[in-house]
Amino acid sequence: MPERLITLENVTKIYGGRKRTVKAVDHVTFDIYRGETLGLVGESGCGKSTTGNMLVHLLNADSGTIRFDGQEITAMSEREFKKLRSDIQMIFQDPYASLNPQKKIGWLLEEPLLIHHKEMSKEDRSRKVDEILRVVGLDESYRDRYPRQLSGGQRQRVCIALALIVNPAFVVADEPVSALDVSVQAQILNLMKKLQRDYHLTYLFISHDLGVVSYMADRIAVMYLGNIVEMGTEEQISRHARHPYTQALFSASADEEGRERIILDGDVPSPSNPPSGCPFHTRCFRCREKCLDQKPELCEMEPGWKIACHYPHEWEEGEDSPQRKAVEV
Amino acid sequence: MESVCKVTDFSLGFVQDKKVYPAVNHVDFEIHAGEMVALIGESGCGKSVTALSLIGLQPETAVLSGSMNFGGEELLALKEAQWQDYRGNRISMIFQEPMTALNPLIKVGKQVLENVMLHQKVTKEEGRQQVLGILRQVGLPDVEQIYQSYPHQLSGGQRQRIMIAMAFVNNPDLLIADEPTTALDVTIQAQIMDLIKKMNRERGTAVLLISHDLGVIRHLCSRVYIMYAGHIVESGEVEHVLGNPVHPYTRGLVASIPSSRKKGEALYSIPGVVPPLYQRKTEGCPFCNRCFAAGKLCERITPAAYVHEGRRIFCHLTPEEIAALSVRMKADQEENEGKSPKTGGVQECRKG
Amino acid sequence: MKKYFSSMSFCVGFVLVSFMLFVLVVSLFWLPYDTTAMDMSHKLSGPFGGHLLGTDQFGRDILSRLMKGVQVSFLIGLLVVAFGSIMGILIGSFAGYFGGKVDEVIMKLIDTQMAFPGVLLAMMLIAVFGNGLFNTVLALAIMSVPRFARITRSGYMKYREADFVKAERIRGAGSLRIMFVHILPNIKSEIVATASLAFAGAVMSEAGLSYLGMGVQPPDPSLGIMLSEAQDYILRAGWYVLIPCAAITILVMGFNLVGDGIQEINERR
Repeated sequence: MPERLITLENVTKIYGGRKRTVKAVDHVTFDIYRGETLGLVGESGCGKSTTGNMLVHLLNADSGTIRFDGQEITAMSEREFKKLRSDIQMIFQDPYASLNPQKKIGWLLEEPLLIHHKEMSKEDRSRKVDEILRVVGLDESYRDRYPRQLSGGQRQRVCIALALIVNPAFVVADEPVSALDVSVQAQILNLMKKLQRDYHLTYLFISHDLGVVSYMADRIAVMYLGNIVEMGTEEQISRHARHPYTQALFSASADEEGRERIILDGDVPSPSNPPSGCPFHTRCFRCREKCLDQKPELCEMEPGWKIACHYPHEWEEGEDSPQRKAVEV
Repeated sequence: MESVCKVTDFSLGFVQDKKVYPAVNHVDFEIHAGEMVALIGESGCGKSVTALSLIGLQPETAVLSGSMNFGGEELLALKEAQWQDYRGNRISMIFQEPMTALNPLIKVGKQVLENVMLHQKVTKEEGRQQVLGILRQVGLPDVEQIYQSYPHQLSGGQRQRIMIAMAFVNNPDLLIADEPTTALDVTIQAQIMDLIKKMNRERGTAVLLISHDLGVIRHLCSRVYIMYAGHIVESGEVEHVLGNPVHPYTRGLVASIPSSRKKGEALYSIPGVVPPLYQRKTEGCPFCNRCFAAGKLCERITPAAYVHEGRRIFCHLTPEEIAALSVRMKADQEENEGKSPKTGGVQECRKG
Repeated sequence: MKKYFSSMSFCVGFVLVSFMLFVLVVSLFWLPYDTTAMDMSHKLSGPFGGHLLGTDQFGRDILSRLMKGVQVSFLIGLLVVAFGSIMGILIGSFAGYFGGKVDEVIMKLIDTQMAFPGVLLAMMLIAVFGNGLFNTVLALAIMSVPRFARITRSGYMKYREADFVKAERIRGAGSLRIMFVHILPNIKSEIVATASLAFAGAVMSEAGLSYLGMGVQPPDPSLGIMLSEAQDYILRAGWYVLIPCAAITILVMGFNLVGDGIQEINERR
């Protein structure tokens, strides 16, 4: 059994004040093993970014526990958490917004060293900055440039360098390539894979792009309205999904030619007013009476493969075809 | 097949400080009646300005040349006043962000109705019935209630449905959809694409779809044009072009898309970046500085098109030559990988 | 800096301010006459005689008094902007960055102060603490705090949720570091624009207070005092009124135009 690096237990996050509350994350439980990439997919407002922000301590969970390497971090104050800051880093979606436009790249890269390694001499810091620039495929000449002088891909490389310069064990990547063009996206994904191998990083890879997630992740968790609906290895999720929502999501992915496309009806319900029972029942093509008022628990179906559905065995491939609409091509 | 729109030798340049920077160069394409055609390219390749020119909304600093023939009329010769007969009537467009394309202060029903009244000689009541009909056709529930709603009361998917209703209400001959689903969620994207396809089939409207989602394009479109840095580099049937790409750029593009199947192997990434507008050369193949197969000739002369298995390819090399050279793609990849040292000093820092 | 010259108002303002700065620099090293030396034999003599801009009712050289007055205006303007901006930026930073209750209380206080007529407040303060340069500066500085606080606060609200600020928090930067090293430089051009406008306002208010006899006290010259002394002779010696008026106008308009120009360019970006 691989070692658990991150453990989430019944983590809940509620936004809003007294009158209107939104359960952004609803009793979420999962583990991230050391050295793996866990993909987190779902539509906007499903709570995937909130989960990522809780792991890097930008937000505090309202209940439940989050452990990093055995230590509970949920209730830590900012001061206590500071020593873990260098272990847990994050890469953001928009490389244009996540670099301070007023500072030079060299200055930005030196800052984390100043904060976390006060003992380092100026020469050491400068050597380290040159080194990390080379690691992410840039060179020393970038030190004196401002973020606005770089392309999107170069900026994202700088963001990766910023995350890695403090030598983290765990990196949350929140849609790191969705603002980039396809050919640049491939460069960044390759770089992230290579760095994971070289530095034994653990990634939480948040994305809505299923092709990207399937390519990057070892395991995938699918979120819907603050709940995890299915979780398993990449192959289980992307090819043999059992949950109707996962099936619909992955039916549209690019390389699965010949697979029937499932088109769900209706809109994602508002998280401030979630449906009773199974959160997905309003759009489910296999909805039965039980789904309307009983919320399914996330149950282990096979070792490591969990699903939150009352009827996970209803539909095996070939049998009992669900009501679905297929698009003729 | 009858063509709705035929663009020949179309070029577009941006004027700045009395210099013209070409953004689109000698582009030819054609859209047949009732078909769905895709235009693919990375940002900055000129696909959006080309589409905007088709509806006369190109930026003011742009200078156009060539010909855009739409049902016998020359679009590039139209005056602003004449455009009124075309826009929203015979040619309509759907934009990326439905929220900014709708007036937030006017009920959506009225906005669609306005479009009807502007172009058709009908009474208000007939117009209203027509609007309710189209709202129903685009799959909106409770059309009477939706008719009376303001844009902010609707979800993103519903707003995009309103945009589609507005685009189709006057039965256009051509619809331009510029990345119509990028702002939407995955499952809603599928709904909207499905709807565009349905409208295309039921009403026989030709659709020019601008997108970078190859999966969607494979499912919905019959033909595709691949654009790179203002040039069309390859065009033809979707299955051929995307299933078995020939042009080095198309090959690179298809190979760089991540998917479950490519797991475990490094993705191909086209070396370098798209040159910015003001750095583009006027001679030579636009792709030569990033191409694995480029030779001396490519730097000097812009390649002409040749036809191979029903598609047009703009390259100096034959498909066999490109295929033979494509082993270099792998070599490129390894070179890129090898650039950075395998083990760096990041580890040292922790010990220190 | 260079980009601001594409704004017409900035260019005009820049020329006007440069002219006044030139007058200021000259006045620091050389004055044609002593500013308080009276010469009863040359009362209210016209310009271009022995005195370039003529003399006042006591025969004092108007040019010298004007140059000294410009010195006083600059001194007051600078001090007011310095005090006002430091206070305003501190208050605005904390209110904008932390938000919540702190912000609510601070902004309520600022709103209350804004609802109060500025000159009245200054007069009240002077009535309590007495006349003099320092008290004038203090009163005007307190008046200018709200505009700095508001502009700083709105800048912080804009950047508080920016990705790069979140990224800094994840990198372990403390609140003070994020506030003053990361966010503040991003709003400096807005603050400079406000400072320029506040400078113009301070010059104007000082002239107003001195005119009312509550600012700088005679026999020290100030543009406001000159104006108030000149008004009795408006029919006999029109130039005497026009000269301080022109100085105030050039100074105030110059700084206003510079401020407007900077704002214009900021908005264009």
